[in-house]
Amino acid sequence: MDADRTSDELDPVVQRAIAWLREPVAFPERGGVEAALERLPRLRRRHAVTGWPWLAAAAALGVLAVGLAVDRPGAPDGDTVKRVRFAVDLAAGEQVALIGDFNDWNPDATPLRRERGGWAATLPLAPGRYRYAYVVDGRRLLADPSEPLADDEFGTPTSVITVPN
Amino acid sequence: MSASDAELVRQAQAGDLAAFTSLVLRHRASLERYATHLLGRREEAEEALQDTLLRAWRGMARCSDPDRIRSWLLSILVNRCRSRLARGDRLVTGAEALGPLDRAWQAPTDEQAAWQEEINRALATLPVDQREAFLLKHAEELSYEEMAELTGTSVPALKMRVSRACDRLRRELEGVYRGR
Amino acid sequence: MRLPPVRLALLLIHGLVPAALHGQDPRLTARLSAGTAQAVQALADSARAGGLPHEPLILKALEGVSKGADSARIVTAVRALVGRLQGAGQALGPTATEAELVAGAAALRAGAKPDRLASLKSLRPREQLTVPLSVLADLLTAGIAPERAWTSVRDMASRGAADADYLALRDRLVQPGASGPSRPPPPAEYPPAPARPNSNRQDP
Repeated sequence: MDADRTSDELDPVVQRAIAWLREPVAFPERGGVEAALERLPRLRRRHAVTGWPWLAAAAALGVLAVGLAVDRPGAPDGDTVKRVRFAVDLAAGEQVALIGDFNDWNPDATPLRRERGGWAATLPLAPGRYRYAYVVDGRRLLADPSEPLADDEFGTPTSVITVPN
Repeated sequence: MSASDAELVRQAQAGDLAAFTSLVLRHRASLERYATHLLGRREEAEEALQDTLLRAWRGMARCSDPDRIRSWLLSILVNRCRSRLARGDRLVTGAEALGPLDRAWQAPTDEQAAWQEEINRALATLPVDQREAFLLKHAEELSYEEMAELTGTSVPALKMRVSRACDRLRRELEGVYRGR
Repeated sequence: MRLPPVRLALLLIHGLVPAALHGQDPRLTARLSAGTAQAVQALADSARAGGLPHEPLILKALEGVSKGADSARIVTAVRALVGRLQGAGQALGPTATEAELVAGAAALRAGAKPDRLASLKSLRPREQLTVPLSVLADLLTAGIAPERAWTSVRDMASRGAADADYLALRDRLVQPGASGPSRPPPPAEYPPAPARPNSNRQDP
């Protein structure tokens, strides 16, 4: 029966398919597992207090802390990370970056790439509400014309996106 | 000399994100390959991978056999892929609708591209359980015992699925292959 | 599975464990002045001790510094967010997730009343409230009359609407990129203030 044969013993056409299926799959730069890995440091900080050093300290103090979640829970187990595309039509400008809650408001973290008629980037985001804006040529802050505006304490254009479950 | 999988797992279980990253990168080929071929689209695969790694990082303490971290990661991925297929497409609203990922990084010849399309098409004709079993057995080269543990299915049932998958793929691809 | 925080034990832990064990968030020390970073960290630590998420507070500070806000404005904004997160936590209960609290805080800032957040919780006790709360915040921010905004969201919750339905409602009622009756805001200058810590800067 085919099930007990090694790959080499199977029909040539199936062997050829297997050879291709064994090859690594190419993802775009910062895609695949890298995109997921980039998101983990944020999770780590959020949950740092529930790690082993805290449990050890609590135990030493005679306080039973097993199973405590000091931080509020993050995404519930059923949540799925979504790939969300940000796109802005800007004919002018040499560079556009995204700053927001998903990248520590760091203008170097998420440059958009040029596309016909505009700029775009795709980010993996867990369900939630994220404030953000575009930085154009490092000099101008723009709200996203395709999303609702956020109320802003700092008097600058800010957008908000809600990623559903 | 680089650390063993077991060493990295222990470090990751202690909260060392760099160790977890090293582990994942070491086994990325397997994870990316399985997710892409099972789900059929890179963007679906990326979402499943992200799900998987989030769960793996949160649940590192539950990896009880550090020497078999690859199987452990694959077991989470298999479940996430199954959930994804069971739920169907998820809605992303607000931002512009997702389009296909760029394929600019890969430029196969026309013939290779055509053959790859045929393999994808043939794979898609397999029921999910046969596709799953075939990929784990022949693409990821797991033993039936590992597959049984990972999928929760008996070895005889897995063998049957692999056998049927091979039959089906042979029929689907024979006409294409002979024409080349 | 989420476990509810055991508040007394949490207070004991945080009362007895030196604050130094928390450490300063390196993102704050890298981008804010020393005094501002310390003030924000203290607010974040205090929030965490009270069972609130601290990440939104760090992000609010980073948002402020990226937009060139001065120290006083940053600390004020973070402090105000602590208050809103507390309000959202009281209304939504101890099992609310961080995402729900952030959305709830946004709704409160936009003018929603705390009892309405609690009502939403009672209408959707077993489902995530992030999207309904976020949509409520968006509707209010856009200038939709408060009663209309509330009844729209409440009625959807009563009907068991899915997240996508709330977002569709918002998209029907709110012009993207607009806030209230006015046009979208013009671009602003960026970045307006230096990001490097400066020991000579005056801190609140």
